[in-house]
Amino acid sequence: MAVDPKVMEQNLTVHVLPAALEIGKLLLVVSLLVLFIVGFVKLNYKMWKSAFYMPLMVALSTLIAFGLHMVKADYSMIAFLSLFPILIGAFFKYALKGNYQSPILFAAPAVFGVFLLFIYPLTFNFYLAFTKLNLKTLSMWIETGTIEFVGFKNFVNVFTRGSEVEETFWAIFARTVAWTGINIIFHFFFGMILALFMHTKIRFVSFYRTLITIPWAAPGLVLVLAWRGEFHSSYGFVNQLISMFMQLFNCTQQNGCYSPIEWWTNPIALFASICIVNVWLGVPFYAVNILSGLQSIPMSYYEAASIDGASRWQKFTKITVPLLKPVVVPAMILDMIWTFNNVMVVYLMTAQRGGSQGADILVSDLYKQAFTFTRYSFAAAYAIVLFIILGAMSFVWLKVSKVGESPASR
Amino acid sequence: MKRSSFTSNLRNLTFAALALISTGCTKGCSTNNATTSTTENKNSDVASSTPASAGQIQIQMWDNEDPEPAKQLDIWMLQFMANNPDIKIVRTTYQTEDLRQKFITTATAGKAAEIVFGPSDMVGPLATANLLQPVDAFADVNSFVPAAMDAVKLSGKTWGVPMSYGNHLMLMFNKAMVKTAPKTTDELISIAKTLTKPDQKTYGFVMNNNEPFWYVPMLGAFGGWPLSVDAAGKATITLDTPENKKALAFLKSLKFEHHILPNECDYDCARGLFIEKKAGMIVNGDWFVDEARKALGNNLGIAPLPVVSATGKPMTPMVSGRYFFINRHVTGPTADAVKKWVAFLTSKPIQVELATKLGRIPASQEAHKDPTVAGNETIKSLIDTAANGRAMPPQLEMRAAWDGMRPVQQKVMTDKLSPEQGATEMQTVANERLKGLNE
Repeated sequence: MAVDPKVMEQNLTVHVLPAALEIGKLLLVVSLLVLFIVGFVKLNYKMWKSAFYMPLMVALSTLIAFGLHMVKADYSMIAFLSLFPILIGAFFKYALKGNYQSPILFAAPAVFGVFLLFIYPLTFNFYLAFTKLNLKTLSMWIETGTIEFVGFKNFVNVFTRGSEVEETFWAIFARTVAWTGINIIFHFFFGMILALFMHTKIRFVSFYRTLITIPWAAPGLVLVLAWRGEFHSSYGFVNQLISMFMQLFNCTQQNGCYSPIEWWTNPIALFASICIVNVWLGVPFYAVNILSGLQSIPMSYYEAASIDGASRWQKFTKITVPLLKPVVVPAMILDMIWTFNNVMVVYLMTAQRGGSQGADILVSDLYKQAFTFTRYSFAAAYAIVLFIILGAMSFVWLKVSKVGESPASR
Repeated sequence: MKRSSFTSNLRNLTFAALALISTGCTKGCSTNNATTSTTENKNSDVASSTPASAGQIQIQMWDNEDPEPAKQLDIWMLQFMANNPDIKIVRTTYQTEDLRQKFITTATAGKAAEIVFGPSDMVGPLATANLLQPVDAFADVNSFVPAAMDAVKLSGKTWGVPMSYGNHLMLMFNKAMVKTAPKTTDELISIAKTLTKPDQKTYGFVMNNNEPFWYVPMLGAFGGWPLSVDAAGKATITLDTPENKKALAFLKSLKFEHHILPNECDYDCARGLFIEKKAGMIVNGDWFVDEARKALGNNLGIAPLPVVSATGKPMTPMVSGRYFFINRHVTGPTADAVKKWVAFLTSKPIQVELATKLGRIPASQEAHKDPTVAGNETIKSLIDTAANGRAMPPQLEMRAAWDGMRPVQQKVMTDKLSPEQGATEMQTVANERLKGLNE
């Protein structure tokens, strides 16, 4: 039963037209959705004064609840979705009172998108954290839509986990803080050096700028996997470089003076290698940000300082650093969140499986708990804990750095 | 109770959200996007560019095939579709771990593929989560090699239709470097020592040091096994045993006493060294035969895993196969189409081609009687290598055992733990993982 090569090629080739049609369909659905939302908002602006407005919204809520009940939706889902018409009604009637029509109309589709992609999942994750969903209870959930409620047990487990063979939450948390701190410091340090270098009047500066952004612009996945290979104890260039360096001191593997570092399997070495890779990946982000900050500082400030006899160091500490703060601090907050949450580098460098726990950070451990060990509810509680930690850290950082406050209020 | 599509949509949304939130992707999402790329990296989606036409039944099949066998699978797929124009097969390839995870996540939402084509160890998690249906209605389970069926029998039901039998480890050697295959581990060590020259980056013997799947045959030769299953089918993890301590000591000795295993050698490292003719012997699975044959030609030798000299018993690889697992939501005309497709792939002509073109042991008993298969030297040697094997346990406990063994094996192989400590810790970690599965 031979297959005609032409037929085979036709079937195995990706066709552009069907893909374009799919995208077209998606755009149409999104457009209709936006129209619907805008229409709904306009309707609310027209009706909010009516005496029937709130009773109508309550009726709509009841209708949604009834509809969801008929299709056997979870009670949590019924409560969550059916409450919205009442909340929207209250918002239009008692908060907006017919004001801000244009901004609300513009913001409504985005708010809906955020609700769909962020608020609802977050709320459901919160619900899941108080239940017992795992491989064994999954079928019950599919069949009945209910999951056993376990209260704060998952949260207690997050903090009390750990044994002689499993790291505690606090050990992983300490490593995560170290990981975040090390990365931010080195990102900033090398980013600043590179930005200052690129801010000077040297030849081919545009070329250097392009070159430096490669780690940031290239696909992270490829770069991390390439780096992982370079940390192989026998074949990676890192150990070969160390070996060559050691030979300068007559220190070789043969005379027993030196043994190759096992980057992949020694947890401390693995953690160090992950930090090196992530520092390398993150420096361009700072370099580009700091460079844009440097370019926005008027030269007249430096000229005035020169007239006053300021040294280069004084210009740097009294003019450059303070004026870079509005650029650097938000970059650092973003970097802190990204680094704290950086599952990709850690996951790929630790070979993606359940091994090498000694180099895990909270978020990579969370990923493994959820998707390798299938502890869904435990992972949901874990995610909330991480969310709270990150929120608190960002809040404290913003307060300490006083970014966002007007100069007059400082 | 059948769920409506609306509820399914909501559940789908929910699980997508869970994936999003659980990976901590609350802002920025740069990391998570990249992780998604990891998952999709090895994916290939075949025949998905054209939507099913009106009246056509579309069957999604997800697999974890390597690129070369996947090409043959595509040819069979096109042959089938040419003869069954009312059925459209869409095949997507994932990495093994991603395949399991993605199926669990999407099947919960009622949106997963109709068929998962993969190894037998998917049975435990997928059947426990009630995402599969027994396959008795899809194929005559008595028409297959009985040993192939043992790996997918759980709770008195059969959960997979086998395409091939094996998926097991064997010893492959480069005849240009190793004249005859070692029969015992003493012989293997002796040959490997003469070939191992780390300064020239050549080795006598390589294997994936980090994965317990490669270690289990040694455990079997020392009389141990990760699970013990009683008559009632209740499985117990058995890793803190004298047999495991001895087997771990043997594995460790290959690296630290005999110095024949390269440092940090994972699957890709071992594979690369053998393909580049820098390693004389490798322990690898039947899926690697085709690739090794292309690289080494007639110099490729295949032999059963050797007898462990200390015990006089042969190493016992885990034997399973590659199976079709059917989504529990598959019913009606789609089920009929799935049945046709599975029947096509397990039919004698295709099973014979599986043996002759891909070098895999067919699961169909009828195909074994075919002279082309019976006289095929590669297939004969593969059957020989599977003779000492034991069926891979399908129980969920095996999943916990793998997760318990993997990190500890790495610790033993980096000399962080003694074999005695390793065996005890394997048991403890596996018990913790099992406990975690119930939380």
